[in-house]
Parts: sequence; structure tokens; C-alpha cells
Amino acid sequence: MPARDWLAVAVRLAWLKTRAGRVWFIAPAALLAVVAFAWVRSSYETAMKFFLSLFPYLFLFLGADMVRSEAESGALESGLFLEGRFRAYLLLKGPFLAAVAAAISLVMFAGLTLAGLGAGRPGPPDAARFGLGLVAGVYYIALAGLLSTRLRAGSNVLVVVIAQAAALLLAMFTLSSRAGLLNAMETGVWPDFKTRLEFMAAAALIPNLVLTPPLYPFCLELLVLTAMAFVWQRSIIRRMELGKP
Amino acid sequence: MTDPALEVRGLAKSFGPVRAVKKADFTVRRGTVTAFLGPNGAGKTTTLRAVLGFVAKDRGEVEVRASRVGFVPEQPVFFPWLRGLDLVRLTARLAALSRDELERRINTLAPLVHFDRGLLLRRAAAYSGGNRKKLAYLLGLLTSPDLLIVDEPFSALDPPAIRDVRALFVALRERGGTVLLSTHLIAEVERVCDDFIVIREGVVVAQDNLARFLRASNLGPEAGLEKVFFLFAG
Repeated sequence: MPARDWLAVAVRLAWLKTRAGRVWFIAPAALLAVVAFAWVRSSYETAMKFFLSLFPYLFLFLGADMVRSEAESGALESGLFLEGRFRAYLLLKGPFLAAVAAAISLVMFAGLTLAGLGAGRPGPPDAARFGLGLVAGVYYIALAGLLSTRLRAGSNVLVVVIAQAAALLLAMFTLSSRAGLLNAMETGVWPDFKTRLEFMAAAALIPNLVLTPPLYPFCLELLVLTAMAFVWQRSIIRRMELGKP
Repeated sequence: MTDPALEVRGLAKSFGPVRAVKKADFTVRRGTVTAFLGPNGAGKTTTLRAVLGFVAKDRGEVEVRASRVGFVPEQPVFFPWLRGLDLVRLTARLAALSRDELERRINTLAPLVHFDRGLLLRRAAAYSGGNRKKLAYLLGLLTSPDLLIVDEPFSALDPPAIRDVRALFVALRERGGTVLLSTHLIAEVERVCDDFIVIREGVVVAQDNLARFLRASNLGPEAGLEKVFFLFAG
């Protein structure tokens, strides 16, 4: 069977699952509501800031339930997935979901920019920040994919959200001892390696943190972590066996 | 034996400390219906799963010499987000079938496996066990496989469907196809099988043509597959 036919089948399968999950529609709608609320209650600039900070979460939510539940369901033990084709399907899901989330984000960003122009707010669109947001988004997909090789259903996303909430709470309660870190995040000047390392750890958990200009260079860290997560996930899936339901 | 459809040599597979298959050596002749027999836990399903690539083998060689392989699992499971029609279309896409050809094959195959094609518009996961099995047959046969592998071919099927599925195996053989059936229901499979393979405690302990074996053994030609099974599998 030509690889092209199998790729078309795998993409169609991934799309049918994504469509059935409805996250592809609900998450952007929720983001749109937040952005509209910010625009109405504050300003276009605030709304755009909200959008640019939050849209990487579209990638995270689309990355729910990618691998383990399907591998254990028994549904991959069919003629469609013979000769190890189930591995190719599971590996394709990350790039496919990243492409879907990027397309949705791009449409929203373009719409918001055009709406701003229409409302007489001709400020230059923050394309660089949007591009780096895509990097953060793809990192979320890679992280969600890696976690879903171990965690079932949507618990891969839940774990990330809970860890982020816990990290933010911890940061709030230890604010006074972290003045150096906060200052460095604002200025981009790092007093020592420990502070830089502390921020890198925080960015690995909350990649949205790097989406302010002094922190843009940390996107390189996200790119490296994304590559590592994809390679790790690939090695797990290549050794994966289908479990009996 | 010339030109087998499937050849398995020295296959072994463990799950942790459990040695599910210790040594499976067998050949499935082209143009035959072969019964793959063994008691519960003998390693039949694991062997098939290794042959089909669902689990990785620890050792051994699997050589599939058929160009198109069809598979019908014991208890088919389908994604809850797919309709029967989606599965049929995806399978047709994989086999590069035209829309007309797909329609023709569905019209031919659905009655043969007693599948009501009206079900295709419903989610396959919601079908009854019997209808899921029938859909699995439809999908397995849609690509006109020259090797059809079926795990427990008659489970969940009603008697009319069992009768017609048996006839289907014979028809596949008559047009040169090969069928490998892993089953406990010896009486059902005996009526159609040419060859048998017996696996016991993870080791293939016997393989032969049924008629030849019965003639040559002291069981006598009137003895059935069940006697062969008890002879080797105890």
C-alpha cells in the first residue's frame, strides 16, 4: 500500500477524532469570549495581550488524550493498523494537532488584527510575539503527547494545568524571596546562573512566560525541550505494544 | 511445501516473567483453510498478535508472503467517534478502492456476513457484539485479502451467520485465498479446515494436513479434528 494512502487515512482518522472531541471548537470559542470581554471592558490592546498570552493553551487542550487510552482501547487492533501502522498513526497525531491549533490560532490572530484595524486601532500586529506563541504552543503539544504515553484520557492536560496552578500559588506565597527573579524577568538582566535556571524551570512548566520581549531568547529553550519531548515520545511509541482491552 | 502464505520460525514472546509463546514454528499453505488450535492460554492469540505486528516478538521470524492481509479480531472494538461508514471508507481508501468498487463490494459482502448495511450510519462502538463481529468481517474482507486471519471466527455470531461465514471461508479457499482460523470451536472449524496447527504451553507441537494425518495415524480416517486436538493438546 502506498505510504501516501496511509498518510491520508491517518490524517482523516486524526481529524475525525479531533472533530468528535469538540475541543477544537469550544477552546477557541472560550478564548474569543475572554478576548471580547477584555476589549469591551478595557481596550483593544489589552484584548490582544490576552489573546497572545493565552492562545498557546489551545494547543495544550487539543493535545488531550493522544496515545495511551487509544493504545489500550483495543480499537487499534484492526486491519487498518496492521504491520505496526498504529505506531505511525500515534506518531502523526502530535504534528497534526499542532497544525490544527496553529491554523485556528492564525485565523483568530488575523481576525483580531483586522478587527483592530476596522476599529481604527492601526497598531502594528505583534507578529513576533504571535510566532513565539506558536513555539510555546508546539511545546505544549509535545509535552502533552509525551505525558499521554503514560497517562490515560485527558489526564495529561489536567496534570499540566494542576502543576501550573501549584507553581503559581507557590510563587505567590514566596514572592518576597523572589524579588531578584521578578526583576530579572522584567528587565532581562540575570544576576546569576541560579536565577536564570529558576526561570528556565518555570518556563518549562509555563511556556507562556517567555512571551514578553525581554524573555524572548528563552524560546530557544522551548525549541530544545520540544525536540527532546518529540524524540522521547517517538522512542516510546516505537517500542509500544497494543494492550488487550 | 511450496510458496506458503505465512511462515513463522522460532517465534517467542514474553510479557514480563510470563512466557506466552516459547517457540512457534509453523507454515500456512497458500490456498488452504488452516485451524490454529490450542487450549486456553496456550499462546494462540499472542502468536497471532505478533504475526500481525500488534506486539513485538522477542525472537524469531515472521514472513508474510501474502500481498493483502485481512484480520478479524475475536472481540472487535471500535473508536466511539467512528461510524461504520467511516471505517468502511477508511479501509477502502487504504485499498485504493473507487467509490463504485466500494459500493459493489459492500453490496456483495454485507449479505454474506449477515451485516445490515443500514447500521453503517451509526457509531460502530454502539453495535451489539454480533454486529461488531460482522462489521469486522466486512472490513477484513473489503480489501479482497489473499490471507485472512481470524481470531475465534464464530464468537458472538448467531447460527445462520456461523453457517454462512463457514461457507465464506470455503469460497475464499476456492478462489486461491488462504484462511488462518484460531479457535476453540473445533466442531465448527473441522467442516472447513484442510490443515491444522496445535500449540500447547507456548510451543507449536503439531502441524499437518488433517486428512493426511488421519490416514497415516492410528486414529483412523473417521476420527475427527477433536481427537487430533486431544492427542496433542491433552
